[in-house]
Amino acid sequence: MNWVNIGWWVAYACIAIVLQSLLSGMDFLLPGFILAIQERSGVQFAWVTVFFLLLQEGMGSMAFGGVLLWYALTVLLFYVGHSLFEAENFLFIFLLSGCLGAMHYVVFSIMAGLQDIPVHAQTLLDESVFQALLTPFIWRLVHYSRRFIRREDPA
Amino acid sequence: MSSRRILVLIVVALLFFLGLYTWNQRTGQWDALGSNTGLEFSGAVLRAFQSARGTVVSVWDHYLALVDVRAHNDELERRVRELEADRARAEEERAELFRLRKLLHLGYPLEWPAVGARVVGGRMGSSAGLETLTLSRGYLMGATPGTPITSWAGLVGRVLKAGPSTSVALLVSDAGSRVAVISSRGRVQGILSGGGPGALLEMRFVRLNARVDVGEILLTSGMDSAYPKGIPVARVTSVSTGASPMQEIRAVPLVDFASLEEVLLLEHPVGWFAPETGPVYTRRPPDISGVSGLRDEPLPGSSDGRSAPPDTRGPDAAAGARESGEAAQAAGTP
Repeated sequence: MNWVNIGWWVAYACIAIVLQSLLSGMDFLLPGFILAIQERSGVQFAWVTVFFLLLQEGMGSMAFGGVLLWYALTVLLFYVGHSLFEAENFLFIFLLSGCLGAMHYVVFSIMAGLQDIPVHAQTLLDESVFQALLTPFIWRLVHYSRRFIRREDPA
Repeated sequence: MSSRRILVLIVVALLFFLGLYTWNQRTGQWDALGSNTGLEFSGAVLRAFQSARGTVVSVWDHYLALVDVRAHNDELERRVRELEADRARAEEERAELFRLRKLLHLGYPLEWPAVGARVVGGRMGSSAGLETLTLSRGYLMGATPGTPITSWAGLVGRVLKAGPSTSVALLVSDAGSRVAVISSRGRVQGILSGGGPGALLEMRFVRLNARVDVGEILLTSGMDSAYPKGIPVARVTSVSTGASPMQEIRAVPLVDFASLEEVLLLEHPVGWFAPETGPVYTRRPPDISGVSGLRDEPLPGSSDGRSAPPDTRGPDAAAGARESGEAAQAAGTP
C-alpha cells in the first residue's frame, strides 16, 4: 500500500470539497475519478470510487443514486471512447466532458422526477455546461500533479 | 465481448441500480450511510477550511485594516444605547403580555431552546438539486431532520439531513418548501411556497376578500406543527387578483441566504409533535406516539427568565395542523 498515493487522493478530495463549497452544483471529484479509471489499477479504482461516491452522495441533497448512475455512465462512456481515442489525449477528455455534461443534465432531471423534486431547468443546464467546460482543465492539472506520485511509485 | 453480452450486462446493471434505488427509498440506508460518512468527512474539511480562513480574515480585520475603527466604535456605542432603551420598553410590554395571558387562561408557549451553528457551505456537489446550506452541527448536537432554523433576520428553513456533526438545511426559498404563515397586521393565514433559486416566494390559499398589504411581514403561524409561531419569514412585495378565487401574493425572504454565516437551530420542546421525525424526503407516516397536549409550565420569565417564541398549543392548534395538511406534510417536501 502506497501511503503517498493515498495521501494524494485524500488531499485531492479535501481540495475538491472546498472548491465545491465555493462553486455550487459543481463536481470537482469527477476529474479525479476519470484519472482513477485511466490509471487501470483495480484496487485503487475500487476504493476511490467508493470514497468519492460516499462523499458526493453525503454532501448532496437528493436521495442516493444520482451520482452512482452518473459515475457508472462515466465508466461506460470512457470505455466506449477509449476504443476510438487515446485515453490521455486532451481532445478525448474534452469530448468525454461534453458528453458527461449532457449526461449530468439528463441523469439529474430523471432523478429529480423520480424523487418528486421540482427541478429548476435553467440552473441545472448552467451547471451542466460549467461542468463540461471545467472538467478538462481540472483533469489537466490533476493529471500533471499525478506524474510526481507515479514517478515515486515503484510499481 | 459480443455486443449482445454487453447489452445484457447493461440491462442487468440497470436493474441492479433500480433495485438498489428502490430499497434505499424504502429504508433510507444508503442516505444514512452517506450522511454518516461523506457528509461528515466534508463537514470536517469545511470546518477546518472555515477556521483557517477565519483566522486570516480576523488577523486582517483586527490588526491590519483598522481604518475608521474609532468612528465605527462611536457609531456602535450610540446604536447600543438606542437598543437598550428599546429593550427596556419591550420588557415592560412583555411583562404585561404575560399578565394578560394569565388572566385570559391562554395556553403557555412551549420553549424552543436555540443553539447556534455556523454555515460552512452552500449547495454542495452534483446531486445538489435542492436549495440548501451545510451547517456545522449534526444530530449529536441538536440538528435532527426537521429542526427549524432561524437567523437574526428571520426564518431560514429546516434541517433536511444530518450526520453526527454536520447537517444540510433546506431553505424556505426551495421550490418544494412549504411554511404555514400569517400576515402581521391583517392576521390572514396561508401557505408560503418557495419559488426556487432567486425567485420570489408565493403565499397561497388566501381568499379574495382577505386584506393583505404590500410591505406587510409574513410570520410563521405554527399551524403546521413544524415551526414555532411568530418567526418573521418574508415581506409582501405584490398582491394581485386573477381568474382564480384566490389572491396571488408574492413575497421576498427577509434572510439573505447568500450572506448567512451563523444560524440558530430551534430544538423541538419536550412533548412537541413533529410531523417528520425521519429524513424530510422519506415518505414515512409520522410517529404520533409523542403527541401531547398543553404542558403545565411556569410562566416564561417568572422562573428562569428564558425567552420563547410566542405560541399557543391546544385543541385549536392541533385542529389547524390537521387542516393545513399540505404544510404539515412538510415544509420542504415537494
